[in-house]
Amino acid sequence: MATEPLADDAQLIKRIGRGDRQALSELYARYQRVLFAYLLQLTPDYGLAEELLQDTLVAVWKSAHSFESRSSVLTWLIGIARRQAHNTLRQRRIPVADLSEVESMPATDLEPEEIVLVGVARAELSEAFRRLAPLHREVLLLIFVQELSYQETATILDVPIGTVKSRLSNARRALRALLDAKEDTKR
Amino acid sequence: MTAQIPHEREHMADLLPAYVNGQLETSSARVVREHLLSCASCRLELLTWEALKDSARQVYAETPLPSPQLMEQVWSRIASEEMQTVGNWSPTRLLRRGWQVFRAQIPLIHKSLWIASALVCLFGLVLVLAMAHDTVGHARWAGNLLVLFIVVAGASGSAFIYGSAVDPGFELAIATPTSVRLVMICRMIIVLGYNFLLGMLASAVFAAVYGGGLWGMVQLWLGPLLFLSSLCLAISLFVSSAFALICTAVIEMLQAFPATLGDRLGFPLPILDLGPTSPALLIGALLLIVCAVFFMPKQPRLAS
Repeated sequence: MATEPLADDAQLIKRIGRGDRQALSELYARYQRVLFAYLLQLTPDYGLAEELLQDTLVAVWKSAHSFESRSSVLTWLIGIARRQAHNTLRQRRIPVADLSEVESMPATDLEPEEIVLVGVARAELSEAFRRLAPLHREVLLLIFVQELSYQETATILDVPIGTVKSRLSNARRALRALLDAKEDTKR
Repeated sequence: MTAQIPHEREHMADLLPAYVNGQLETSSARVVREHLLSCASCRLELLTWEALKDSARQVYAETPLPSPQLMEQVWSRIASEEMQTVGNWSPTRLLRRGWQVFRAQIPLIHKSLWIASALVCLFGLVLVLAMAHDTVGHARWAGNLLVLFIVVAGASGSAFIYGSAVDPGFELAIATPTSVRLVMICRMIIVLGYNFLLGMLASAVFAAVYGGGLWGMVQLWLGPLLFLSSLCLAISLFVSSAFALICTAVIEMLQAFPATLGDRLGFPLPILDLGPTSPALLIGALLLIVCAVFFMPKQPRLAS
């Protein structure tokens, strides 16, 4: 599921830097799903996500010449997508995620039995996943779908590694809370 | 993945997501595996992360793709942003842009213009070659006739360079932010260049048959061609292409047969002799082009 880093990805970025249109089309063909899925975690609005994807590709076209392979192409691309998304969403006053609410979730250590999600039906779990805060969906996607390391994820999110870890735990707890709330309404 | 390995007896919550991803180094993974054997709560937690990973991947798999036209929109945005940065006026960028506009005009000029000009020139040449060319008087008359055809072919072509009535690419031209003046100058250069080549070809054939130098022939038509073409363009812009054609025909008739026409019509006609290429004629042509470009009537613009 995660995009395998292809040997010539960096080469592709170099070609884009030289103004090779075909290279940008190739890069898009490789990463359109990854980038679009990522942007859809930040906004549920399909049209807006497409607009943000366009912003990302225009930014890639303009900044490819400055790519120095310090990070992987995937990390670099998601980093650009995130910056573009945050700029646009901030300008339009659309909240990306309510940080105060999400990050200050009580960090009480729940017993493993309470947080287990194993027995829950797959469809129910996916549905709860979609209702998570963008901030939590984002970190889960980066870690479990793109299989990025904590370090890469921290670079993209521009936070310390510790925050990545706590955000992951909070995401799991929030998912449990959503499932519990659903159970309660059933009763 | 680098992470501090906790003591075997501690829970390993932080390492479990990386363990699920198979990203731990061999030694760290072994420690986690051994811990899991003895710790039921971490085993349960591992299952939780696995379920979470599974749901994240499922949601990813169900994500729709962006619309197929997205890349086209990206290209048009890139093009319009690049066009805005032309405002930086770097000479090479400006030249490249000018060349792009110039090249883009060739397919936009009406196809019949190429054929019509070539046919008129060819017809004139065939007519001149078919005439008797034994005396000097005949040769001069034939030369003047060929000049007439070359000038008419060239000038009438300029009547169809630009404008909604005659221009298949007009809609496209006004829908782009490219300057209409630049478009018109490019087309004028293309059409004039083409007619110049036709004139050169016809003159070369004429010179080969009748003798006399090529330049002697060229200087007979070059000035009048430039002047009448500019006049024709100006009239076509300010009045209409058809009126420009009529004007060209009248001017040429007055030039070629002033006495004959005057006799036929029964009243004297003004003598309108443009003469061979002269500085005055070239300056007049230049002024007409400048006038046409700067005072061209306002066109509806769809793009800014």
